[in-house]
Amino acid sequence: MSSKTLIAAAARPIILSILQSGESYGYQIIKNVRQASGGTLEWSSALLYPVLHRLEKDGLIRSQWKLSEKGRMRRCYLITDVGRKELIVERERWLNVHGILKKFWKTAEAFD
Amino acid sequence: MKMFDLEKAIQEWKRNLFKNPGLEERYIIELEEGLRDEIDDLVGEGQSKEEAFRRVILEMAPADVLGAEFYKVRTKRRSGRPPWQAPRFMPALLWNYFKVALRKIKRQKSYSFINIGGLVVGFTCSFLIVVFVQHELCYDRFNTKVHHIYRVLNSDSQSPDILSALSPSGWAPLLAKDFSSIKRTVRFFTNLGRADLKYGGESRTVQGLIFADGSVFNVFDYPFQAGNPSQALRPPNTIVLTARAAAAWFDKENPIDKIITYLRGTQKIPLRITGVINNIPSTSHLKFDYIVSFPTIREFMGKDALSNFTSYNYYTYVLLEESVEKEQIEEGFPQFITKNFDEDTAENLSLHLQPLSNIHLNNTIRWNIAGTGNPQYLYVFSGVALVVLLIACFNFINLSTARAQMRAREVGVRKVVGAHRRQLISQLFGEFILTSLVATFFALILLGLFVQKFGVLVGQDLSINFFNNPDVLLLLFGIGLAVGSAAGIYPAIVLTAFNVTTVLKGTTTKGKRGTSLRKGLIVTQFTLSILLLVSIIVVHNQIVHMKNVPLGFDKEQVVILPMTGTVKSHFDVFRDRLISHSVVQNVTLSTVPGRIMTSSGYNWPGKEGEEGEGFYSMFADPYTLETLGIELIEGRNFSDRIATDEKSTYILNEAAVKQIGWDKTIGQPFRVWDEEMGQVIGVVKDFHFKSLHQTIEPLVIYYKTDWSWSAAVRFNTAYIASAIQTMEEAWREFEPDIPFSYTFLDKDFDRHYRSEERLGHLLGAFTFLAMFIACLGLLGLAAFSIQIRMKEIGIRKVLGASVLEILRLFSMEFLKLVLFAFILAVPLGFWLMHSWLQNFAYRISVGFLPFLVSGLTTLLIALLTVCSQITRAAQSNPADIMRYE
Repeated sequence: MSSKTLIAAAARPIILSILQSGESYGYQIIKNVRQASGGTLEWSSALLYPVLHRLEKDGLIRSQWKLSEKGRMRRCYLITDVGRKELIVERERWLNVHGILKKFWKTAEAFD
Repeated sequence: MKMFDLEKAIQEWKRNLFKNPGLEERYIIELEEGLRDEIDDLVGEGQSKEEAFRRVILEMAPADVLGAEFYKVRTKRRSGRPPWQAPRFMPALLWNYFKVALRKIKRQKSYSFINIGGLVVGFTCSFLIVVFVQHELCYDRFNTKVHHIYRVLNSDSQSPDILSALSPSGWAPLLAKDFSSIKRTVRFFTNLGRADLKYGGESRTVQGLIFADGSVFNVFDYPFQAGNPSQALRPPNTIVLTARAAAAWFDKENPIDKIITYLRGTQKIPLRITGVINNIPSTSHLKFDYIVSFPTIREFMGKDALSNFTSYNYYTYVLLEESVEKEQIEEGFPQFITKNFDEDTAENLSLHLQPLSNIHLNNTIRWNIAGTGNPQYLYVFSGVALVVLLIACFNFINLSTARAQMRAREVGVRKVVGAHRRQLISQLFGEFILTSLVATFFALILLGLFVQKFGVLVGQDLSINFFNNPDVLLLLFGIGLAVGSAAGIYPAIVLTAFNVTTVLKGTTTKGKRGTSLRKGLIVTQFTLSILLLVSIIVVHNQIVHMKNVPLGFDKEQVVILPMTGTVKSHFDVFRDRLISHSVVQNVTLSTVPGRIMTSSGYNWPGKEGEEGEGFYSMFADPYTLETLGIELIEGRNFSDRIATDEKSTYILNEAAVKQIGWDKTIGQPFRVWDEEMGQVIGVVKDFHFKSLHQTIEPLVIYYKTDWSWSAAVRFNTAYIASAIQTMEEAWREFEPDIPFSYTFLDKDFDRHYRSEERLGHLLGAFTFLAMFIACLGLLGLAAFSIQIRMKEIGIRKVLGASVLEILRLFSMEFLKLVLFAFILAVPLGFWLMHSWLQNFAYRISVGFLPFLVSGLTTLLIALLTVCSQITRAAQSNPADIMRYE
């Protein structure tokens, strides 16, 4: 779908957004993203888990071990207050970029 | 068919993850959980467990990528690169090669020491010589106009091959006038560089005073620290000092416009200081600390001193237009000569230009302004450097191939896991390069430490500043790299040629591979070492021979005093003052052996041709023969009682008589230049008035005290100190202003052998080092071959061999090589030394003794080296050795 760096850059706000609507765990997040993108965005565990850990280290999310319905240990992630604030800032940034691009593309379309 | 077991597969996968240092258990549990979830989903979609597992694994990144990503989160490193991973700029296996190489160096300390140490010594030697050669080659190149500056040389038609650097002062203005492409001319006058200066009541004898035209600063690059370059030396009676001289006289005071007095004989010439320049670089063939303005010489060289055409006492340099080649100017010289000079001069004279960059290394020019470098030296030194480097290289090759089977297992394993031979070669090759780079690094440090001491040895002011000379640094590293490559390529090929199956079965050939090559290299090493040893012995013997050969005069116990006009004009009184002391035996005003020059214009009836004959000429007085111990074999000595003796009598040496071919010598009419016809009154036995490089040539001794500027004093050896004091006291009476100075005749004469002495010292140092490296190599090889044959030693001991027998058995193997080297070295050394000795008219024969001495020395050193290793092995308890397996 898109370049590696863009995927990596988008990972933070996407994860925060998913966790905004309730706690989740690794595989579920991957599935969520897959569904939301209609299968065009496929995250690997090598991408997701380090980002999760980084976010946790930065205090934007926290995690806890829970017993899953299948009886296995599962690590669940929750968004923190700091994370919520960060998400607002991130949202602003992305919308800003989005707005700029939209304007340019509109003028570009006018010339097509 | 085997059933797929999901649990087993997952455990296997986890085990693999655990191996990665970046993955901790909690990460792995999390990953596992995701993996299981996904497999469950896929199985729910109808795939088999095996299919599901493979697909998920395929999509998941491999363990090392996972590990690195997780590590990145935790590390503080900016690059985020885990330490167990190769830096990104390194191709795949390079990091591993690098690690293995470092590990080898660290684990095998003594081997690495021998290997790297040998290289370091070899590199240091050759680097020193490279620095020296480079220094010699870049003489005068600090001048930005170096390629357009030339010195005017001349030759006469009688001996067109002998070029002289001295010219009269009148040529420069004419050259500037007649050749529009000569931009500037500079004249120098050196007066032997010695001068007496006086400032504020203190007088000193200084070295390095020259006279030069003011244009010197337009032609040569001598940056000013104070003063105005364009005006500094224009007016007469001005002087420019170097920073060093200014500091010596004035410390921190400002020297500008101070008046310093130049004492010349009875004259006191005031000089105003108009500038201070930087010290002259060590790579300048013109070396001085004081430049006096050229017009000043009129004060003592006569009124026509600036435009004279007969007094060949000056050096003339020209600066050409940039677009002009020297040939274009030289083409115009014949016309220039016929136009400006009288017919007689024009017929005989020819002019030439010598490029500035060529002056230092051309030792064929007569009357050079200072000693030149010896181009022969450059070859000899480079040769020695090459030899030492070769010996070091051979060590490297020997040790590396000898240790081949130690590496064989690694090579085998790498081959089994799929390494190409080319890959392995490049790995090992890289390892050798690394080793030689490490050696280069250490050698550079040693170079920095020793370069000045080495400079003293070769008589040059050497220093090195790598920051100013990145190209030299690059060159030296280049040498290091080149040697590493040259020495590394063969071992790399040998080491990788092993057959995998034999290597891994453990039945490697016991180091047989390449033994003959190794032996060959050892023989070469020792041949070279013996050659060097023979050379120092022969060079040393020749020097001793030259110093001790009877010269035909007595050079011991004689002091030479440089004369001044004042002392000379009262020489009789001066002489009487000295003679009255019991320590002084005799005094003469005379030119001394070792400083005798030729003079032309001798004539006698019956001589062919009109031109006067040129002979070596010694200006003497009646006391000369006695003072110097020269033997008169026919006729009589000069006498101060016979008035006609001075200026009209001559004493010849045997060589002169033989050349002229008289039947009866005494009383023959003889004259010099246009003096009145005099006569020959005596013949002296031939004596060596020049160094023993040359044969004894015809010599005329001539009673003419005006022309000799030195006095010789024979004294009683027992009282050197009081003799010197006596002379100094007498000197003070006549020349209170000029410092007393003296030299001993024997030292003064021996300075002719300084270059041989230097060669001797240098060869000595390098021979020692070459031997050292060769023995290091031998040590390594001996240790190594013993290590392989440890079991053999054990068995032999069990069967009753004594330590001595084992010693003999093993040392013979190496001694045979040294013996062989000796046999090779004899004819080679004989030829080399024989041709070197051709430089001397009076020489020793090479003889067999130097070979015997060097052969035995080498044998002894080799024996000691090898035995030190073998004894240890032979003394060990066989039980320990045998139990080993």
